[in-house]
Amino acid sequence: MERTEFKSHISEQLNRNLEELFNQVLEMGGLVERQLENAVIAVENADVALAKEVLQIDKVINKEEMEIDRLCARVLARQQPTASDLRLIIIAIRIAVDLERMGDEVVKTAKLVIKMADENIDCKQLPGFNALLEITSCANTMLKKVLNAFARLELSEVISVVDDEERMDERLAHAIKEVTQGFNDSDLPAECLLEMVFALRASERVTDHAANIAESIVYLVDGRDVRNMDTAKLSEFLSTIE
Amino acid sequence: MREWFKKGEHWIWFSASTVSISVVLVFGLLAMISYKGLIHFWPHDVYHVEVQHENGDREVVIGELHDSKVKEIDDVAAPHGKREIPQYLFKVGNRDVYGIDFRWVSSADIVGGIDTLEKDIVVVERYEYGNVYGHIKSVTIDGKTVSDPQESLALLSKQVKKGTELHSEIKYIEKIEIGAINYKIEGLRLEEKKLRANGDFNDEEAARLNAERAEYQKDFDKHHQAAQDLYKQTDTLGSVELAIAGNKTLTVPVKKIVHFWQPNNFSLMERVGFFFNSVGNFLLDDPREANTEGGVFPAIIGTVTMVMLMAVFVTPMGVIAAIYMSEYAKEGIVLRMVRISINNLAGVPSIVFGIFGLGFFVYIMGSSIDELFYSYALPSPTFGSPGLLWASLTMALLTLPVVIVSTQEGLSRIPRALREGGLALGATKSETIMRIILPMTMPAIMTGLILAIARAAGEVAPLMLVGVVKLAPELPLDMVAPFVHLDRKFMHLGFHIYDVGFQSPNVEASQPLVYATSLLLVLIILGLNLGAIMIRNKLREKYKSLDN
Amino acid sequence: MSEQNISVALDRDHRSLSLADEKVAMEVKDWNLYYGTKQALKDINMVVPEHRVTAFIGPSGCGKSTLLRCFNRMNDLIDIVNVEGEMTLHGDDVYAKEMNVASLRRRVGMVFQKPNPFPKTIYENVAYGLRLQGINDKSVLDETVEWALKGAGLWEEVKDRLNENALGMSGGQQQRLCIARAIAIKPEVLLLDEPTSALDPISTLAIEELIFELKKEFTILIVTHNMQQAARVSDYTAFMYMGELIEYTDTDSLFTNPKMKRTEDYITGRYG
Repeated sequence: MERTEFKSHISEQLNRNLEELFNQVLEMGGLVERQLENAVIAVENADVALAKEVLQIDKVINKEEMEIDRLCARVLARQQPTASDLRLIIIAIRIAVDLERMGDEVVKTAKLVIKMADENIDCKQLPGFNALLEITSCANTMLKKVLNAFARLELSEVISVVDDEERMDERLAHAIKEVTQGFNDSDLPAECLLEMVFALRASERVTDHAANIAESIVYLVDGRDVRNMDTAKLSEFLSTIE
Repeated sequence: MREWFKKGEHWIWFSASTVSISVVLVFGLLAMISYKGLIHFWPHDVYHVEVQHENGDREVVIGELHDSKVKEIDDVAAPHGKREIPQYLFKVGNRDVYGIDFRWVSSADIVGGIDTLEKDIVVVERYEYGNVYGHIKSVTIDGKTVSDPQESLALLSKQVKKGTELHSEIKYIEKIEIGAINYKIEGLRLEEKKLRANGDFNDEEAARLNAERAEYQKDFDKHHQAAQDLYKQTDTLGSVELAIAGNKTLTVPVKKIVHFWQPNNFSLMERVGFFFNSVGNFLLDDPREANTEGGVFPAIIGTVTMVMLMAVFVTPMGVIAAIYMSEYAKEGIVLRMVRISINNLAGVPSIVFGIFGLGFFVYIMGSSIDELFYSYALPSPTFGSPGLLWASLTMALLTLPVVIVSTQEGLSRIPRALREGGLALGATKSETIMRIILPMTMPAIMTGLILAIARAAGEVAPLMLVGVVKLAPELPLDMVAPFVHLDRKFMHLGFHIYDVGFQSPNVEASQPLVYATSLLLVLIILGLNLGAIMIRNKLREKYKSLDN
Repeated sequence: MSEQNISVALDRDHRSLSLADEKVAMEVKDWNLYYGTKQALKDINMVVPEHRVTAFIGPSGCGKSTLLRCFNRMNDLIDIVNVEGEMTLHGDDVYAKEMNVASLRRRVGMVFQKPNPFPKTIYENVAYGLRLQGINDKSVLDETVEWALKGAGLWEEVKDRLNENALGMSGGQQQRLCIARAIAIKPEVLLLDEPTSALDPISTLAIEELIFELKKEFTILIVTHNMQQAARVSDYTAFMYMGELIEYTDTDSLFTNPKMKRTEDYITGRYG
């Protein structure tokens, strides 16, 4: 499937609307990507300003989601899309929801940075800090991959996203253990540790949403629904696509 | 069988048989007319029979066998108490000698059968008194007599050919040249009358007119003299002496001979040649002998001219009336009345139209026209007597309903969308009708015209009252301006049939001519219709895809 | 991302179309129409915005075609029709006594349900309206015919066979020819009465696309049985029911969030 297919309708208006939708989704993805980048740097450098920007960007993302919804409703009501056009509309709504959720989750990480700054605690002291960094940057990579896949309508990198997601699940489990340990061992305030748990959990949720987007893209490109498949089956299926 | 009825098969068979009966009738009619008509042109064999009268006298009958009938007479000895005796009709010709052309001979009186063909017999067609059947005895020119059979035959053909040439020269001079001069002299006479009527006649004019008249008179005398000279020449062509049945001799001057032939000596090719030659003469010659001989050329011209003129009158009248009725007139009681009247007009007997034409067109309109424009020619009428114009107008009136009805039908078939399309582009109603509707109605108008032509060409009764005559001295179409002479009387094939078949002194002799003329009339109507149908089909082709 | 950028992004608002902002091409006030004694249109009030596509939808017999035919006085052809109310075209009273109907129809062109090309050549079909106005100059005609055919998206298909009979074209081509014929006389308003109901889906899409292009130069009113079509092509949509104008607003709002219950019922297929 090619991007150009969405530009080849007799109706110029439909072409334009679908193009706009595509760009809107990519733009929204770009915003979330930027949020994640900011979050990683903010966590690393305890940069409160960047963390606050993350909060601001989230507002824009929320607005973008509404815009995408509006656009989708409009195309559905007025142009009666079918087949790949219809799938595009459906996954656009779904991706928008996932991206919006991702934005919200990243905000939690940013809030950790702000909280730590308020408490005058260096984040790096917190247990699970490395895990948080790792998961967040991995989430960032995954998001880049799925956005690439969406932009090019091409599934070669989707497998690694699913793999990454599983890896991050395990990583989270370890990190939680670490933080639980911290409750007993360290003298850090409990709410800071709790905040850390939230941030870790949120980052992992971001990877989950990235994986969801990957599944949506499979549905868009291939028309098959790969949600709720067990891992073995999924890998097998994904390898057939290649 | 019940299944068969249930399916309704019997209706299919029923309708199919009705159609076949109609087809058989049409083709039967055409075949009969063609056979009876065309046989007239085929050279008949000339038979030689001996007849024994009851008093014992024997007589030789020589003639063409034209018909046979079976007469039944009572006879006790015969199986059914009746005996059938064939009767034969012979055309014996020589009307000036025998007084009759045809003779019935009973087979009971014939001695030796009727299968004897007379060798070397000559059939001579004359300008007067019909055919002569006999043997050439001798040919006499300038007192010299040739009696050798071969030589006299050759000499006779040479003389007849010369005679035909002379006749056509005379005809040219009399009809064309003298005719034109007469027309001019008549013009001068009318001019003088006109001048006198207006009081403008003075010496100067008189001198001019007299000078012109003298000029024409000189021309006339010259041509007249030439014709007279030619007539004299025909007298020197000599004569032929023929031996005819009954041991009589008949002397026929060569100038009276149209042509002659020896049918019993013909080969097949010669017969075919003779056939086509006769057909040609029939189509192109003027009638002779009270229309019973010669051709029908003036009647063909008259019929076609009248029909064409009728088409010229009826088409605009019918189309305009139909357009008014279906496009402009408001639906209501008046329009309904008009529709009913038009439909009833189609059912009015045609003779009534003839009476109307005579009463209204000829007596009222014609007289008024004469009084207004041709008063100088009165009391001799110009348009005040039956003529081509009134005949065409009467026929136009007669066929008007057909054209109106079919045009209306055509108009109602034009989709509403097309009218609206025209109007939506800013055309007025009349522009839409003229530019779009009317061109598309042309096929329907042509259909109406086809029906009108078929009706008008076949109509006889009303024409007798408004312009058709038995024998017209001049054609309604000629080379003298205004080329179509609307005031002239004309001949018509339909009337010709009636006249030849029922009004001629020699009904038997002219019967084949009646069939031949009928066939010709059918062919002319067919030709006119085919022309119109071809135009219509071309138009239909143009608008075909509009129907779906 | 700077503070400013973010605030700009937050303020960015996709405002939908609004009738209040439009220039008025035609206006209808208290419009009533009677077929004999039967009232077919009841108190219609609306403005037709310039250079926009306005669609009329509604169940059969709701009066949408009747209303459309009021705009170029096509109803005048029917004797029993009586109208009352006020209708203006760029300020001129359409039903004024001194209004010449033929010249009104030059200003308000119309395309009908069934393609109705005249049985003439393609060229003559398009030139017909001009010839009616007495324009016979070959170069003017050539230029306008080419312009109109290009405008109707037909030029490339027919430029080599302008002298062929228009009846030999396909249905979709014929309808575009009718549009070309209508725009050749450069009307201010173009009325389309179910222009695609006799066409196949692909030809329909081509016509719809054409309508989208044409609105740059003409004000377009379209009646359609197919409300998806109205949704696709129009900027504003009027829903009519039983001779009344129930709802008239921008197409987005009408199809995503109709204000009236009857509109909602109709466009969701609950009756009609």
